[in-house]
Amino acid sequence: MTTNPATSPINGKPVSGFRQTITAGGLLLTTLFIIVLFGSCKKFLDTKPIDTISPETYYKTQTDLDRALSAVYDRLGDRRTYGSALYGFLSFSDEFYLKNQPTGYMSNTLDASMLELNRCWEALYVGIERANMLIELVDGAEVSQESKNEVKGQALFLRAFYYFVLADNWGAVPLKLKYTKSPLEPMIARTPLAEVYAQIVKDMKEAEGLVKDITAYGSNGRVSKTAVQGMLARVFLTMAGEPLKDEAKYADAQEYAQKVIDSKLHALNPSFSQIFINLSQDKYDIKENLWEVEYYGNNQGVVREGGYVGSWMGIACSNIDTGFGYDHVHITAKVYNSYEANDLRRDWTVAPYRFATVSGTSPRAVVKRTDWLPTQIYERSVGKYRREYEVTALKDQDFTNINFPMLRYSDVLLMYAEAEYHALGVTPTAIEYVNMVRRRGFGKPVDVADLTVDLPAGIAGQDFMDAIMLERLRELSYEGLRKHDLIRWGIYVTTMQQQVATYQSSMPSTLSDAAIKQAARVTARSVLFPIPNTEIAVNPYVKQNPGW
Amino acid sequence: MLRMKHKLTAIYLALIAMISTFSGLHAQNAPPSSASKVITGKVTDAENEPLEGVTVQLKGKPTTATTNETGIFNIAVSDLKNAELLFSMVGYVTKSVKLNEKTTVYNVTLTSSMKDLDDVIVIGYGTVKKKDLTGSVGQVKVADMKKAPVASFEDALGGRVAGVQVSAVDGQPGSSNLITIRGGNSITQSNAPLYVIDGFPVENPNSNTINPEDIESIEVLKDASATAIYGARGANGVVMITTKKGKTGPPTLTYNAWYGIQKEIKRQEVMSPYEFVKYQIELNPTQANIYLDNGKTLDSYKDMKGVNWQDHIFRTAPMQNHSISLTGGNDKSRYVISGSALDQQGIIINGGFKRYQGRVVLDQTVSDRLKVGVNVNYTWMKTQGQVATSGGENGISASSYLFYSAWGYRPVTGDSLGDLTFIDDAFDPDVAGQSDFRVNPIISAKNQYNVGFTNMLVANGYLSYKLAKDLTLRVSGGVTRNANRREVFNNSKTSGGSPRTTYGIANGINGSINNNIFTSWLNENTITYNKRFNKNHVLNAVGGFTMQRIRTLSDGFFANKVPNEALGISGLDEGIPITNTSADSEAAMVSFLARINYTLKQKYLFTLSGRSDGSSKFAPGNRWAYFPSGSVAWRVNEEKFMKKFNWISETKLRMSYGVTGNNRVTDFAYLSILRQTGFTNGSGNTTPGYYFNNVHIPGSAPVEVGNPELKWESTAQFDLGLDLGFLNNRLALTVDYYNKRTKDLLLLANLPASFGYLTGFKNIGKVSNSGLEFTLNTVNIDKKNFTWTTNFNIAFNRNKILELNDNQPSITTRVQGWNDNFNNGLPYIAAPGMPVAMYLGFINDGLYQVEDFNVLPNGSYQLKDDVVNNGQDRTAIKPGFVKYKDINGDGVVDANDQTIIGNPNPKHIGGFTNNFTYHNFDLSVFFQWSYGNDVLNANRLVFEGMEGRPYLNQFKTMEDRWRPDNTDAELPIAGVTSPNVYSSRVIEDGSFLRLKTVALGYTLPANVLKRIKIKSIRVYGAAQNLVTWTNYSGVDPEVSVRNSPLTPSFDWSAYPKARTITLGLNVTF
Repeated sequence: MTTNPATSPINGKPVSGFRQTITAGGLLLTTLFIIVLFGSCKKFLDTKPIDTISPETYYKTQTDLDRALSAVYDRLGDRRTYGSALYGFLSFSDEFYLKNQPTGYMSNTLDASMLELNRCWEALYVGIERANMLIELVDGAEVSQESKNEVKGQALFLRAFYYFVLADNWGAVPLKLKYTKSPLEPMIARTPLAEVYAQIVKDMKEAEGLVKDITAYGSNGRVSKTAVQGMLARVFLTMAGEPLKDEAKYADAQEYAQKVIDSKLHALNPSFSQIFINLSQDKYDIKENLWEVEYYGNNQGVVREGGYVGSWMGIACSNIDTGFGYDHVHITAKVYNSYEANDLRRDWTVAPYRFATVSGTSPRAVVKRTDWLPTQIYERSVGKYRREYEVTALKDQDFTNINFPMLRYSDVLLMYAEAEYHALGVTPTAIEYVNMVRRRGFGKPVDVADLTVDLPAGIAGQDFMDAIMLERLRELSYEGLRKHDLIRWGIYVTTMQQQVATYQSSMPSTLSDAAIKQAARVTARSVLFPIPNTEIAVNPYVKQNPGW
Repeated sequence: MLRMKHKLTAIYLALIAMISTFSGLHAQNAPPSSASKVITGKVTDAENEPLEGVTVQLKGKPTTATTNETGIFNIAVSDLKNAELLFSMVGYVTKSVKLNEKTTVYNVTLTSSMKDLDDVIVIGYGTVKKKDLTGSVGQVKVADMKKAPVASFEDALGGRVAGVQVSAVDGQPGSSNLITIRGGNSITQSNAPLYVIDGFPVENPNSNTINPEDIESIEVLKDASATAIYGARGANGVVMITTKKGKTGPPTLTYNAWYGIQKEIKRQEVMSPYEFVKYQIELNPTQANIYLDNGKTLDSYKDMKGVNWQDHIFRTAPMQNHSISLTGGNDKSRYVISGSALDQQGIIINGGFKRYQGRVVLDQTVSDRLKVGVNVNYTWMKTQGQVATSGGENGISASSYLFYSAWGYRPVTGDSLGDLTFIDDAFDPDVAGQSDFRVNPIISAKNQYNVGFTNMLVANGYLSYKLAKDLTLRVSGGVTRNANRREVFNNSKTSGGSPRTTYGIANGINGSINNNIFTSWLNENTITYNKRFNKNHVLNAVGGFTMQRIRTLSDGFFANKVPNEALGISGLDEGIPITNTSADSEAAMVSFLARINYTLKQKYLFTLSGRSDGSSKFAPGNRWAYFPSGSVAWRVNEEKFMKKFNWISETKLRMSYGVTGNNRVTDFAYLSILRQTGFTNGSGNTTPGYYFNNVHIPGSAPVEVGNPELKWESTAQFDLGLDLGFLNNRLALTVDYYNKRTKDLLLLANLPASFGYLTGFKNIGKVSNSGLEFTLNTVNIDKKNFTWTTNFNIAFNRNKILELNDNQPSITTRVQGWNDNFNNGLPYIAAPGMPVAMYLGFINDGLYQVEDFNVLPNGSYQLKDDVVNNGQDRTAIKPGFVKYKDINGDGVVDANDQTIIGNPNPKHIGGFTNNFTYHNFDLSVFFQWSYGNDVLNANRLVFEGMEGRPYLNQFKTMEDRWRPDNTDAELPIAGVTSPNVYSSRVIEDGSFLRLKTVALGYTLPANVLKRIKIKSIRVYGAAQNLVTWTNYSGVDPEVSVRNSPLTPSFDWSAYPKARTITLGLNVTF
């Protein structure tokens, strides 16, 4: 029964015109207010990232380029690439077995869902993406052409190298040469293996003309001209073998190994063990080593660039200060027995001792260097990478500063010999290069013929090839090459099956169980890894490798 | 025409008024006797609108009249003396008016008999009466909810509103709940609803910052018609929380206090010393020799008590809260000042949650036109204690979790001297560190320093100005500052700092401090036009413009090798700084909104609403999106043909359709991003840089790929609702059917790794949710001294993926970090045609029996050729091992034999509340349930033998394991360690019915209180989580420790929920 004082009881309309004016005025003001605000909306919504940088604004200065390139190299050091997987648990061969690992990721149990395998694939493609972005945007940088070339050369090489690792392990893979602009880009099918290799060769050749000589750096962490050439020799050799079998590439392999040799920038280190001591001590031997993956420090601090070389694969030791080594990677009698008497490489490659726990508990147990008995072969650890020599002041249990050798001059010499053998037959140069490697192994001067260690003068045909194969095992084991040598020679599966028999017949029963399982898992399908879920579950154009 | 009629009515009214005044005057002179008079007048409703069809009856006489369309009645009354008129109409309280002899004009107002229909419901940017509602809005009965006290209102929200699923991650004090309204729309993004607290939208609220006692009302906006006004943020539903405002009247001081004790609902039964030793002997006879030296035999353990670790880590924990509030005001000024203090100790030692909170609300009427007000809330919170669901620093191993140790720590060491100190030793002397991080759970819990602080300030103000009678401008603004700080210190007695664990070895004593500051300001400007043209036409329109800016800052550092352990967190500066973080991001949003409610003839209701949002989270071309909705409702009861069904008091049909959005993506998802730090790829190599010649060059690496075409996710929802009321709404039923289709799903899609990124935001994929909701409210008994009311609600939701990106067949998801042995397993699958998450795994097919094997000459067993393997090498399989079904029949069990083994989505959820009052007593009983959902009980993967870890105690269920003399066992033979897969064995029915709340209160009689000058006193006792009926074998089926839309209902080392008994007191002065 109350009526609003502002309205007439008769018609319910406002009685005062004054109020209507206010309404109109208010509306007008409000409208103006909104218009003004709307005008500024666009600006208001245009927030900019304040914490991150975007590709469009980066890649301008020398520092930008250096950092972008550093990130391309970075993926070499991931645990699932050369941190440990690619010379370890993703590279099973007849040179090692993993002690007490019948199941799990260290047991050669592979399938498309295996996390480590997925991460490896991912790390390689992340490296490729970083390289792609740098290669595509480097031309817009405000630096000299020479600087651009140097950066671009390294990035091209690394992209090609990552593809090489992919092709070598998985066969045909999606070949992506532009950086990803949007998640909506079409997905890529597997590019035929020959095309992938053609691109690898093209990129590496282009890189060869852009990068500097190793002497310009004085260290071998960066990719130099001879590193590119040497790696091209490895690529050609791989192309010439299984599964591509493009035998014409032997000549190319020979040519590129030749280039390295002719550069006169490299030579064999007279001491085989010193090569690896240098790696532990962060010293650079740019004559022996064409390229290394660099690790540094103990991963304690803001910068974490330590690796697992020497800890995951090293001499078993349960004391951190001495240099912790997991008791994972054990050598096989095949490696140990491959050495002839007096070959100095044996007792470096295969550790003749371990640090036995005297008292206390891991990882600070009191340990004592204890030699193995001559009968204890399979008990031995890999001795190439020794943490006793590590220079880091405060050692970490897992992470070491030990660099990993990616390409050594002895490999170049042996590749030359193998390539030349296939291209031209047994030549004196080929024999000489193998002999150089052998002489160094026995501690002899490399350039002086020595009948006690040189190959028999009349060596010919398959015998020479067998000698090369054996020499590669002696010289290059535990450097991530053995499995791939066996594959390109077409004997990976048979070798591993023989290895199963060997383990069954001659290995201590306490150790054989895991080793047999690991080796027995190599079957016809094992020459290629399964394409990981991380790709195949999302990308309908990618088909799985046979047998997986 | 309308206007004309309007005018005529007014003239007619005026005439009547004049006539009656005249006749009144005249009557004064006339003898007050038997002369017949025509009594006239107007009957209106509470809104002063004329009521048509009201029966006017002279009491005790057959004389009746009916009001016309303008509410006017005329009735001849022969004798005015002692005469009484009765005004009655369906839906209104009958009113009697005594006539006197002085007047013949009686204007009468009838009030609605269905008061709840006049309840004011808070909706976006306004309020509406329940009867005028066209959308689907669930009202939480706050009074019921408050009967039993809780730390956070979310703890009491579950089961209160149909279609609102509230589930707890676990029972950790201070942890938040997961709320999903009408099923999850998003596959990888948050499905949490938008909270609107006193009108201010908050996207990521911490419900713990609100004192539940400050809450006046909670409404849940469910359909598109209700949520479209929140446009881009409305798709997951909106929870409207209105806090108490000052009330006119003398100052009222209220003091509420409660004190409770909490105790874990259930414990996991583990093996006794005897059972444990027996198991150890079967597991590894050589190793078990330590239990059998000094002449001890297995039987020696029969009477041994051993250490029951759960006895030591659990405690009966007190919990208390004190709130005080002062409110009052006059017609111009109203105020509330309140504060509260909560102290909840955890049921696990050395943990708990504290909250101090204060609030000031002022409302001032400055003039007839201008009103202003402020609302300021400040909350300080602290949570402390080991997070059960986090593995901490060593988190990749199962052994680093709290309950791994609490359940698994063995009851006896075998060494009688060792047993004496076992309980005080930080580590089990026989367990080698390295890969087993188990720490004495008591020592670990006591030494754990993991403290989170929250400082949250919310300050809002408004100004409301009446531009004209029907037109109101409201300008409001607010700031929110939410500062979180976490301090972690791992001393040498914790898993993270112990020299026995990998992490401790690498880092020594270590710790971290992290700050996270979220600030946001918001300005909202609305104009409301409210116009009642007449009974037939009511228009309410709102238009508005809002702006919001959100800034997120975080910083912190981690240091290790801290030299002085005793200094604790303040000694971190002496350590070696390892990681420094500093991050900053910003987002802005601008919106225009509008809504028109139009009511025709009080029975046809129309609502049109919409919002246009511009968000900085998208690229310039895609920033703006429009979210419209429309709804109609028909109040059938207002129709003439319904008049005869006077037992039906309300019939309303509602229908709505609209589109709402979701913008829950990172601030710059449309841009590709390069970063130099902060990499966690699990490989240890956490910086993207590299050393060249022993000199570090930091790396800049692309880490996220932006999608420039990214746009809003949108959900189209259709809702059909029916509201029925019977017997003056003593029985009220609401039924809703809805169908939601979400498209352009903001999907953090898996990208092929060959893209160089594993994920990227895409607008691809479609999900649908459809369901039925029923809510029944009844007043069963309504006597003066005894009342009984019931609320029952049930909701059925069906969730389905319609499409995934680029024809991706499915998304399979790992649960990483709980146990490195299961890293290869993919227990969840999301595939088109199925709900967003389903369990994937092998089907358990019993155990291998001796008959499955050939016995070789050397006595060993060899699996028969026609018996399939279980994923392991055939040679490794022995009698008593687990069998899995060879689904594809290829004779080999491998990854291809996985199938759907369970569904974590409930078939229906609901709640059932009964309230009773008897004289001054009140009783409330509340049940909550969830039916048909499965839970993955990962605890059983570790504690039912499958891992064979040495010295680890097992669940009591492991007693029923395969032995040559117990071949029909449930569980495999001791020592089976593989295959480490998820199987149907650990998928359990997670259905439960829970007696969630029982509260009994007594209000002291008013006459007693009057003498001591207290307005009211209520004392009560309440219990939470009193009884749970479930077949789930774990501690609690309401668990989801790795909660995400893709990985729901995973149970691993969850903090048990507490059963709480509280006593409380409410006093109002």
